[in-house]
Amino acid sequence: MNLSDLKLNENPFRIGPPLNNTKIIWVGFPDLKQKIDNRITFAMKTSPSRIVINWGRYGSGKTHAANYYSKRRSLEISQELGLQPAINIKLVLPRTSKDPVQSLLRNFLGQISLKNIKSDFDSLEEFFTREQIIQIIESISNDNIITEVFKKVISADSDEVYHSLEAYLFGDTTKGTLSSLGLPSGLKDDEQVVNFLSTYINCITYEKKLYSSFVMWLDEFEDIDTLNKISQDRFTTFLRQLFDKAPNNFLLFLNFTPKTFYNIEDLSITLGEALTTRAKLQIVFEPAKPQEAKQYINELLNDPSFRDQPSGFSPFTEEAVEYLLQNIGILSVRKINEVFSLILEMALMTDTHEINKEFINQSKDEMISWEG
Amino acid sequence: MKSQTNDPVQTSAIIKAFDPFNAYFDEEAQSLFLENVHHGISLTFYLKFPSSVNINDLNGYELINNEEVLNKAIILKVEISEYVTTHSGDGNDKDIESDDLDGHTDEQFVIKKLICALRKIFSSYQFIPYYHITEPIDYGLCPPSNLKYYIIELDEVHLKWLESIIRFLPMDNNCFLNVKTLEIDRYKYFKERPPRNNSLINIVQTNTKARRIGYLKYIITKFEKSPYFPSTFLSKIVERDAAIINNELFEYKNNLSGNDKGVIQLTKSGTSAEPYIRLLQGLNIITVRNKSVILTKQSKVYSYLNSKSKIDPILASKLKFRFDLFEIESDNLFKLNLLDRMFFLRQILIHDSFYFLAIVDIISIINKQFRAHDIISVFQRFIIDEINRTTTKVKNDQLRELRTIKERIESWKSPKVYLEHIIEPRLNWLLDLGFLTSETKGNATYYQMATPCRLFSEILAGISEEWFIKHIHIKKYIENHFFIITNYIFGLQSFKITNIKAINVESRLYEAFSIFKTEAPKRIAASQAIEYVCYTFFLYENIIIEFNQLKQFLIDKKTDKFILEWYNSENDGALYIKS
Repeated sequence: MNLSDLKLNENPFRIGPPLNNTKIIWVGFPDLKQKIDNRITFAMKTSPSRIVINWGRYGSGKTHAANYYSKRRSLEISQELGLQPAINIKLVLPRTSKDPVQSLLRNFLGQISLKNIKSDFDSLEEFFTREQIIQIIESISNDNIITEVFKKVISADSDEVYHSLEAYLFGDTTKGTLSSLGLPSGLKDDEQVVNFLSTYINCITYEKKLYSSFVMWLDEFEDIDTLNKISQDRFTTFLRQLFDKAPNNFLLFLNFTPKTFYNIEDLSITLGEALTTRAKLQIVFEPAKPQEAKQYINELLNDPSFRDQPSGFSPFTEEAVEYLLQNIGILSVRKINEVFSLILEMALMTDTHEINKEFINQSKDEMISWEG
Repeated sequence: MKSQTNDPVQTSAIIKAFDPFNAYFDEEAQSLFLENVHHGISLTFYLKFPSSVNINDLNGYELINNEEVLNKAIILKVEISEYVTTHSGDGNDKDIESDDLDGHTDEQFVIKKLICALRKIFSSYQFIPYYHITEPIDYGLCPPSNLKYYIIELDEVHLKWLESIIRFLPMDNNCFLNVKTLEIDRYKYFKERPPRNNSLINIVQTNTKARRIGYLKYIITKFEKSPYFPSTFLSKIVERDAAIINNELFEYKNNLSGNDKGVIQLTKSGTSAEPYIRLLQGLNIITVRNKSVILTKQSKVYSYLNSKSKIDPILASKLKFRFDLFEIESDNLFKLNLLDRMFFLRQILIHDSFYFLAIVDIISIINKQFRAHDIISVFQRFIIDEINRTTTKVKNDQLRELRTIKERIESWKSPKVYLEHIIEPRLNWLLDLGFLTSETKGNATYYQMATPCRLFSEILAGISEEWFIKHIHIKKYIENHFFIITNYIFGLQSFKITNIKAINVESRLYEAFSIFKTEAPKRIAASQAIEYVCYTFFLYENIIIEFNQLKQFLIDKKTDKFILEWYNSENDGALYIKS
């Protein structure tokens, strides 16, 4: 027996992300989706920068939201509203790194490469003259070296300069590179990294002509406690400064899993008053209530990527779905996916066409999450 | 000093004086085991015979009657031992924690025999020999023995006193020691994964100046005005304001049987307050985050109740419970109230278990008026011995930590100076906690065990009886029995509740939610909630609920209003209100 006998093209409850990023979907949880949609819309339409903390237990969908919005939904929203698109980037908090700020910069450049930066500045020339752009850079960066760096980016015309710049951005501070670029020093200082990133953000979203917003998702923020204290302080300081230097058009989502810590209650204590006062906005990824979970499962099973024609809860009976949801404890999306995926696979294994309550009862020994 | 072990007369004379009933000679180990069943003491002589002497096929009786051969041996060390018969338990011993403080007769405690022996030895010769408690090894062939015994070792230096020791040891001089046992569920204890940050030896680094717990309390109250202070600045702020309470310090010494050492004065660079701030960090009462000093989650329950007691007269009156009929009631900061004593005792026991319990043990062995000097002169040896004892009871991967610490302690140069930094603060903490009383005679301060200390020693004896090594298990006792221990040692009148459903914990849990909430939505740290409930029931209602008891109640979902998620590896969890 295979999935098509159960009227499915593939297992909808897959645990990992889809192979094709643009095919990533969101099902169920309409309220949550609305909240995040609103945040993005707000960022696209208004100027002030914002930090939003996404709180949710493990498996509540924060990383999925980061992927979904940055790879697909943000663009859809801008198209629906007829606005300039936002730049979306998802980064993971650097863990156990001696230099978390440099590590973050490298991740950033991994996604927004020098090529992208150059093409963004080229595109800016549709709206501003080069002189204007340079003026904007100078006034925003307030840092001679960074101004020079961006000037070089804009005027980079040879492969040589290009490669030197790349090396420079990735931390190469050898005499050769520096002198060929005519720059006095490398991008090592935390503050300079702040200046670099904030200048980029401010320029490409200037007056929302090219991009309406710059949205950054910082995932697994709770892992900041794997860094030593000095690194933790450095990193939170870096974020604060970045936020202060990009007061417009910057939306920063921090994905937080509430963890317990040795001698503080939770991370809000560590973030420092400065950051928490800028981060009064919260979106809570709550565990699903049984009805919400049912809706999620229904929409998931019947999503066009898995099924040509909607067929209700099949191959599950509605009773089986409810029964499962009642007996696996707290309903995080990950847990729902794991459990339902397992049951589906067991049905395939045993040639069972209809998954009913009895089948669940026969299979419950296999389920770690069973709390009945 | 010439070792008298080489004096041939002594060896056989000692044995004659001992009058053994049984004698057993182990030819291979060259050890001679002697037992006197009349008073239950046994001796093991570890001997070294010169190769010229033929000891083949000699049995014990033959040896002890062969003075010539016997006296040719050098005594390397002697072990003195007594045993008790443990009460037989079947395999299904009760596995629920119970607070049965009675129920055994004293004769069944090997710890009692040990402490009595140690007291007698110290009383005569002012030293504490190496000792340990052990159960016999189960060789698996015969039914396992149900004996438990202590072993005291006399090395070459102290052998000269062996004869007189074995004379006075069996004497019944009314060793007053009760042993109070509290049950721990061993199975659950070993099943749980130990939390991170779990070190075996817990020591707080101290400076001799950090003597008054009242100052710690004072610094904590500063956080009522501000949740954080810049770390470079806190000591200056403390010094600047500490002058206000100087008169309380002197009142504490002059009228309230306290002591005024360890005063915080104004200095240029904050060095006077520094030792106290370091101490607060060592006790995990404050911590530094983002270059700011904040209260830890562990100290917030105390801080809240402490500040509340200033505006809630009912709570204030409960805290001022008179520990001693002769005590004067007072609002003096340095005269700690019940809440202070509970909180600081708990933090000290968790974070300084190794040194603190060693000092309490020594005090119990000395068992009479003493000076700091008396502790200092035996302390280094004692804690090295304690590490050696600990080594026999831990897993292999923990041995390295023990070895490192032991080497460090053995290498102390001028230990008398160094020990002042260890002993003086702790004796003063004991004084402030009401565990000791003090008397000044001339230049010297003399301390004496007060009732709470004596009662606490009884509980420590119970822990020793069960686990042999206290300092690594004390934390478990606090989680399971802190309030009943407090109730006992301070002579309070609270009673334990076994059915939590019978009382309304929910309303206090709701209170905890509003008091301890942070930016994290809809959740609070479980430990704070549980502590708050336990403390408030104890202080307001004289009802004892223990931490683990309430935690289990919540884990078992016995309330439908709250959800507890507990993480053993963090030794804490989150409490959510069920929506």
